Amino acid sequence: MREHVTEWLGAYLDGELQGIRLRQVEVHLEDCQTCQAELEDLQELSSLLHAAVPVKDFIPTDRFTAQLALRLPRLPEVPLRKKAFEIGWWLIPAGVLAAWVFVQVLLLLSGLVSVAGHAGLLGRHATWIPAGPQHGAWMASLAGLLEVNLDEGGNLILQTLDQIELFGTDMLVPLIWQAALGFVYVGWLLLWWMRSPRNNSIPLIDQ
Amino acid sequence: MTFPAETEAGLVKKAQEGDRSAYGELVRRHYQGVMTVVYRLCGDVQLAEDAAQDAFIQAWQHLSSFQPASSLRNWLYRIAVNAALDVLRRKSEMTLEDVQVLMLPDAGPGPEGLLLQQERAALVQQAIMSLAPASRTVLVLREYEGLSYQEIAVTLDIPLGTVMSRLNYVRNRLRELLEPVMMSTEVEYA
Repeated sequence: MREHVTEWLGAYLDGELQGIRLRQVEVHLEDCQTCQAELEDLQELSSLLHAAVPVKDFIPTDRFTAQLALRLPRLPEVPLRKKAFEIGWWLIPAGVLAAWVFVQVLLLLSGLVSVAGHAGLLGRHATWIPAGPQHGAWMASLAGLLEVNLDEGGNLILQTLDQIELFGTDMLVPLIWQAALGFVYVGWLLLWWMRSPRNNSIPLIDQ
Repeated sequence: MTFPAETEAGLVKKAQEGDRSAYGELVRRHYQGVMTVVYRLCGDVQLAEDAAQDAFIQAWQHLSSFQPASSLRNWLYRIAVNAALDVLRRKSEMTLEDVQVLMLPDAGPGPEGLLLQQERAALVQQAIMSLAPASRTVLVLREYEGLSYQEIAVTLDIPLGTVMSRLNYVRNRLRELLEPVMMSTEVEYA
């Protein structure tokens, strides 16, 4: 005879078993008289609990509500400062979202203007648009200013920087912006999680 | 003011803003459930009314901390359980025999049947009241309120396994305590 399933009978009676466990209990009950008797006992107990102590007639709902209304204390006014803080608090994610949209639009427009300028679509109005990579030139100027002689390796690094700028700048700048905004948002989420009340703030006594 | 079509979420929002009428409607909707829970825990109508009043007042005072995404009913039950246990503690001088007397049903089928029913009800109630509050609470929420194990776990903030083990313990204990009653019932129906 397989092991009895008495410990699962309560859950079985309550309809809380599923899957393999449910099947296991059902199969076992088919030919185990001990567990069948145990289950009948539990059913009988449940019937007894309901039948022996019926629910009384409580006072009518309207009367109870009226009595309660007289006892309900006045809720303290929320201070103006707290209200302002609450509004400000929820403005943070909205601000992050607005900043993200703004940066995306700005970068898109900047890219379009740059492409149009390099394609000669803007004519002589495009003179202010940088003609090519700038990082290498800046670094070379800085090295000259500091009277540092760049050797072959240094020049190679500057060239590499120019290449990165040429192909990667359109990715790098948005990435940095998005990472910064994401960092602010995650920080806000963490703070929000920390200041959220746990389990609706009602502790249970004497459990 | 009445709110027949107002959703519970809408009422909660209004009540959280201090609308007493909206809160009154929420009380009306959950009165029966809360009363049943506290009555089963206290074993007396008067104590249950006190506990229910305390529970709804506490809920009103803490409503701002209620998370609308969770179940209001379960939140109220949690407060109601607290209130009922608190009322019982305040009335700790009341003995189980007092509870037994208070629990006698008002009417029954004939004098002999009534006597038998009274005796049985008293024994059952005495057995329930002899359980530890934690065990009694789980029993009431499952057996009388029909909450699922998951709902009980959330309401009482205890693991699911604990709900099951407490129920197993409570049922076995009640079977021991009520064995004479159950046997007499069997004879009666035989």
